[in-house]
Order: sequence, then structure tokens, then C-alpha cells
Amino acid sequence: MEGMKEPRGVLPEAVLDALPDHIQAILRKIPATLAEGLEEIRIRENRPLMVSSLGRDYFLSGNGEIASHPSQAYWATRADSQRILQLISNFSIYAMEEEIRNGYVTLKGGFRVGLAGKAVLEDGKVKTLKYINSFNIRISREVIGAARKVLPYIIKNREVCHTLVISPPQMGKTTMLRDIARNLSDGFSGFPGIKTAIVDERSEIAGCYKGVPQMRIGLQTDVLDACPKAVGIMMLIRSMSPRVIITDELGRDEDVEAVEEALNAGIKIISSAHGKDIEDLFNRPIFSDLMRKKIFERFLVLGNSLGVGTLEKVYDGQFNILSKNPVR
Amino acid sequence: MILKIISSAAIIASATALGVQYASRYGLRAKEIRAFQSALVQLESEILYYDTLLPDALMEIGALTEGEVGKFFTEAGRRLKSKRGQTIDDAWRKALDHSRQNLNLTQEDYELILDFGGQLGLSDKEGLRKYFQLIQSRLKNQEAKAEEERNRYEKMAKSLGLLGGLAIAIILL
Repeated sequence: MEGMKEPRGVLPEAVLDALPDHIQAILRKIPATLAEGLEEIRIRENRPLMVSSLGRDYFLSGNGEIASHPSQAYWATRADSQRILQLISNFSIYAMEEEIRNGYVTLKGGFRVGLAGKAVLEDGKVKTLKYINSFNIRISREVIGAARKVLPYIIKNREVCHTLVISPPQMGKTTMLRDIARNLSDGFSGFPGIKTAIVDERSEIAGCYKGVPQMRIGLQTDVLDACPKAVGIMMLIRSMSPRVIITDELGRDEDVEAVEEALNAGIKIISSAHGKDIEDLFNRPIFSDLMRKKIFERFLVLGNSLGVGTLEKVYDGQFNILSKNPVR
Repeated sequence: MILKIISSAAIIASATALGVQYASRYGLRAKEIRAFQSALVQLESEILYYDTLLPDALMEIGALTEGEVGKFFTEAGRRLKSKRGQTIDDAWRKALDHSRQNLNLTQEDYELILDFGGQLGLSDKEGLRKYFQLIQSRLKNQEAKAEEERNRYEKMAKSLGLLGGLAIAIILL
């Protein structure tokens, strides 16, 4: 169904299961408007329980109501922290060392729990986190059909164009990439599905749990979960023979090199970058090469003018505007 | 006369047997401690090398270990898997209490094993390595004590049984 969103009224069970009983109870009582737009649940030891909904932050009281003052909110305890750790790790913290080192654990259903605590270093790198006392549970929701408005722009003569999605934070970049993957993989009218691969460095696109994608990303899609982009792209080129590779947030020199490798192998790349508009890319050293070589054939700019996920502008490979009317 | 000899022999034999039977309890304790030791070696390997999730690891160990000790591990794993609101402490303690009646552990043995369960939930790999080492060395002490006790009691029981039997034989006959 086009434009269909996941039902927002009910909090995902997988998220509730990761919380101590009394905090679960609080969340089940929150007003429907809050629950529908719920984006983040934040539990911080010895500080008030908070949630983020539709871009705003709220304190929650013990009976699920919005607290106007932090002193009226439910304050999380050390016992709560320990319990959450046990629950998100299925009583097996020792098995989560890699995840803890990366700063997040993924729950069944693809929901990420960000962790904060004291970093333990070895050779200048983070070995693990101790005294984890802060949790950020992100409620990510699929938007099936988010990519519908961009598909005409990113396909040319039945070939996928190298595409870069430019967007400020929280503007639906990942949601867009996910739906693009699904469409390219499953195919749509006038376009038969192609082999698609995703390097999901931060487990946000496919929301893998135990390596299995929890979001709909297409029938012909392979996912490398929690894998650094540069290495991941090389691995996929060698092993999965994708026609297109999708990855989020290019940011390092190695990432750009890997993108060029893929191009040399005849593979299309669809990726994203932080920014408000195409000018932002010209100012960033990492992208100067890519822009100079005119590697990307399409630039999609996302924004907020008609709400989150608005397609503001589309540029072609020569930086000419193809569309400047915002579309939701 | 011959009847007397046979009866005395029978009395002495049964008295001795009773004594040995009583002493064998101590042998059971030693056997159970060894079963725990062996199970914990396997648990350590499941956890530290294979990263097996705890509920699964406990149930696997339970299946591989014989007797009541095996049942304990299976029960602990089952509780973690099924019950909402269980902490590792809870599940471990309740499973141990449940099996205790069918085991021959002393209070000291019991507390040792109980303590260890508490650590399982809280520690990372480095910590766990130390706790596994610690409990193995403690269990080794307990096992040595149990064996020593068994020997002592067995000897004592045999002697008592023998003497007791003799005494009864003399009195009766």
C-alpha cells in the first residue's frame, strides 16, 4: 500500500520487553498523542524519565502523564539500569561486547538502544563501556512508499543513477534509503527488481536483529550489518554481486575510495550525506573529490518545508536543478 | 554351633553394611560437587568462547549433565527463558532451592554455588573469567573435604558396624 505508515498507536512489544515492569507500566499509560509520535525513550540513572515525540521532549511521571516539572517525574534508579542491561542482553552482557563497544544494542524488531557510560580504553580505542547508566531507545518506523516520489528521478533508461541524498539530521534520510532499497529490490511498474545490497554500519537501515533484517528492505537484498562502510562495500563487491549498494552517511576518506571502487566495478551507489543543500557538500573536503569528478548523477535534498521527509529539490550530475517544488 | 557362627556372621555383615550405607552419603556429595565442577567448565566454555546466550547455555549444560545437578541447570535456564520479571539471581536461587532436597550439599556448598549465580548476571568476560576460576578452586577444596570425610566415615562406619555386630552377636548368642 503506497504511503502507508506503520500503525503508531501501539508501542512495540519488543521495546516494552526491554524495560523493567514498572517503567513498562508508565509507558503503557501515556496519552495516545504522545504514543503515536513517539521517537525516543530516554532512561538516565538518577534523573527523570523522558520521552521524545514529534520533535519535542517530555518528562514522564509515575502514572504516565506528562510532568510539567522534572521534580514530578519518575526518576530512574541504578536497579533500573541493571535490569535494562539484563533485559536487552538476554542476561548475557558478556555476549554483547561488540555492541557495547559500538555504543548500541539492537532489539528484536530493529529498535536501537543507545548506551552511555564510562569508556574503557585500550591502545587509544574504546574497548568497552563500564557503568552504563543512560539508555536511548529509538522507535524507528518504516514508511512504506517514502521513496515513491523520488523513484522517477533516480531511474534513467531502466538504470539506477548514482544518487546522493542530502539532508539535515532527523529529516527522514534513513527512511528514504530504506524504501529506495525495497523498491529497487522488489521492483515496481516499469522496473524489474535488481540485486540490492546494503552496508548498514549503524544498523539503522535494515534494523537487523541477530543479523536478520527486521525492516522491509526488499526480496533481493543482502545486508552487511554493523560493518564499516569501506570494508563492507569491498566485501559485497566480491561476494554478493549486487547491482546497487546502498549505504548511509558517507563521511570518511575510505568511504569515498570504496565508492569509487564500486563505480569501477559497474555497481551503482546510493548513499547520503548531512547537509541542508548541495552547496554544503562543496564546502566539505571529503566531498570535494566526489563533486569535482561528478560521480553522483542525482542529488536528492530532503527537508522540513511540508513536514519531515519533504523532497525539497533534485539536482542532476551537472548540478542543474531538475525539481525545485517541495513534494511530500 | 555352626548356626551360631552363621548368624553372627550375618549380623556382623548387615551391621557393617548399614554403616557403609550411611557413609556413602558422603560419597554422593563428592560426586555431586564433581558434577558441578564439570558442568561449570562447560558453561565457561559456552559463555566465554561461543558467546552463547545464558538461558540457552544453562539448558544445554543441563541436558549434558546427569542427575539432579543436570536438572538444576536445566531448571535455571528454563526459568530465565520463560518467566518475565526473573533476574538471574532469582532464577538461579529458585532452581537451586528446588534441587537442594535431592542433593547432598552442605550449607557451605550451597552458599558457594548461590554466590556464583549472582555474579553471572553482572560481569563482563574478564570478570567472569575470574569468577569461574574462583568457584572452581573453591569447589576443588569442597570436593577434597568431601572425599576426606567420606573416607573417614567409611572407615568409622565399617569399624562400628563390625564391633556393633560382634557385640550383638556376643550378647544374643
